[in-house]
Amino acid sequence: MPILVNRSSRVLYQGVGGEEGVFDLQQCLAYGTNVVGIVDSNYDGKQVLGVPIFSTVCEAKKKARPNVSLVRVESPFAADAILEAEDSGIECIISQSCNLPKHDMVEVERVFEKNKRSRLLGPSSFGVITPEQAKVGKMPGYIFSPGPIGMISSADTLSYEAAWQMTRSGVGQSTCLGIGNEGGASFIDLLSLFEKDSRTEGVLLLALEEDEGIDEVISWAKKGRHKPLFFYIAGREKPFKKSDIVMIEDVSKIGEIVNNVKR
Amino acid sequence: MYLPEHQVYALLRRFGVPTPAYHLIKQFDKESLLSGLSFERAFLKVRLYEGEEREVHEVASREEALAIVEQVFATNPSPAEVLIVPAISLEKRYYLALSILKKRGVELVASVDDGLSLSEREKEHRLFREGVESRRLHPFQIRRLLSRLGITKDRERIGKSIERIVAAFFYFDATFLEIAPFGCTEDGNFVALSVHMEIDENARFRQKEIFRLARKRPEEMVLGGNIGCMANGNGLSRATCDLVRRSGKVPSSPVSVERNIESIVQGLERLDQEAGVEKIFINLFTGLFDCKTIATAIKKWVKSKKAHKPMVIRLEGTSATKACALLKKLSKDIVATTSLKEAVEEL
Repeated sequence: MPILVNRSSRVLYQGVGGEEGVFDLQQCLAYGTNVVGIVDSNYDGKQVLGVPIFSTVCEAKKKARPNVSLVRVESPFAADAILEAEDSGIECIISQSCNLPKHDMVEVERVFEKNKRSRLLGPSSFGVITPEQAKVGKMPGYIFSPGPIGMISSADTLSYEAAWQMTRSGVGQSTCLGIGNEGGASFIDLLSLFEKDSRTEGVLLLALEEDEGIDEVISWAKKGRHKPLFFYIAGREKPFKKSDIVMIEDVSKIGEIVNNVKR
Repeated sequence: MYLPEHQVYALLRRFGVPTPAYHLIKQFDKESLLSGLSFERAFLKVRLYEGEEREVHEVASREEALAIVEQVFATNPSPAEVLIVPAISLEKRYYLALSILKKRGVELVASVDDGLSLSEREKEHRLFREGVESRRLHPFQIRRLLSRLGITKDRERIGKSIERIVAAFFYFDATFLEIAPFGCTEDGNFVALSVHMEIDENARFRQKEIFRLARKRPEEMVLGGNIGCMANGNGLSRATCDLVRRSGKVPSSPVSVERNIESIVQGLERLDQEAGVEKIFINLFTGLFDCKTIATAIKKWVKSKKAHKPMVIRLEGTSATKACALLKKLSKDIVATTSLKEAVEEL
């Protein structure tokens, strides 16, 4: 089973936005994603591209039963939208919205930690894609292909580069997750999902040097047996302590390196 | 964003936190300064507009203060600001700071200021921490804090001030607030003597008034790179610099552009002007965005120039091959390719 999103995921859009947003929605629909509803007060019609509009997440939850939500409202409203989705019990909430006020995030993290019923990816996530099943987010679909590598990344274009290199080298992806760098689920939280996923044979992690949670990954990997891990950390100049993680230094060779390691 | 200290005083005063009297000097005028200043001992806090660097001088007389002020304004061509805070003798000095810790929320740290460094006090377990939930400290937390700090006199009044400091921290979207020291004067007055506050830039939309006063932290520019780097997205920019470094060259501060033509042309212009940059490396992964649009914009820019620095351009995304063909034809000083590996070899 792919993790977090798959063919049967029912996706809610919280905020479509203008022209660019409609284009992104259209891309998701064209990819085959099952978008079941939209909550966006800027649209007063009944639907956008055939997707019904609801006035609140609560109403959408009752009538369309979404289990994944993509938050893409402007940053002043993002924490509120995330909390609204959490309050309705949506299991997986992906925030493409970015630059959230830090005090807002403190409250978001507190609520998620207290209720423990939803998972938050982002803020500043590029989305989640399970190739040929569902694409929830702004990433271009054609660069991904189905296969055995899971990906967790805090950066968007860098992830596209990596996915495209893998696809061109003939190694596909199980699921690719954008986690941003403003909070929400950490590398470790999501690594354990891939660890349990039978389709995933190895995991590629992409981070920026200043990201939180890099050291936790290194010590997590030391604790016991795990699937092969590949790690590229942009901006890292000092060498790594010894570990069994494959540290990628040349970003132009991600595809080859991932493809060549025996799984 | 950080605020000038006297602005932080003003914000804290709005919440009823006592702050010291001060003189703010923006230009040197000996006569009016002599008539306007009155103090014996004081702290002079000199701040240059450009940059965050702050010097603190302790002076024992007005004359000594004036000499420093005169020198500051004479030697700094850029505008400067001198804050004179007359010394207050504190019976005891305390340290208090609030900050946001990811996952753990907001935390208050306090200790008795005994002259040791914070890390030394930490080692001796004399930094006291309280988590702040629901935007306030519970009364029991304040009582506990006061007891740990050994405050026995005026507990109610000092407790109230701590409560107000916490309220101000949340109200103004601060990410960091440090009061070092705060203390009680001999006549029993509590005062926040030296303050530092950082405001969250992401909260600009609800702190408009503060952002008119705030100063941007100077951007850290690493100059001296010989390869000018541009890429879309922060992660890819950093990765592009890594590649340049691996090839034995030195990257410039990367220009991170968005999916829009204007920012790409502006970035190009900046790198072309930047001293020390010998070659420009553009690495764009555009996805669904049509690379031909970018190629056309670069072409227009090149045509508008008599000469420009050599460029290595790597484009990947919709119509990348066609876009590269268009760029290659443009000049022998331009290498264009869809392959990242090939691009790096050309640097």
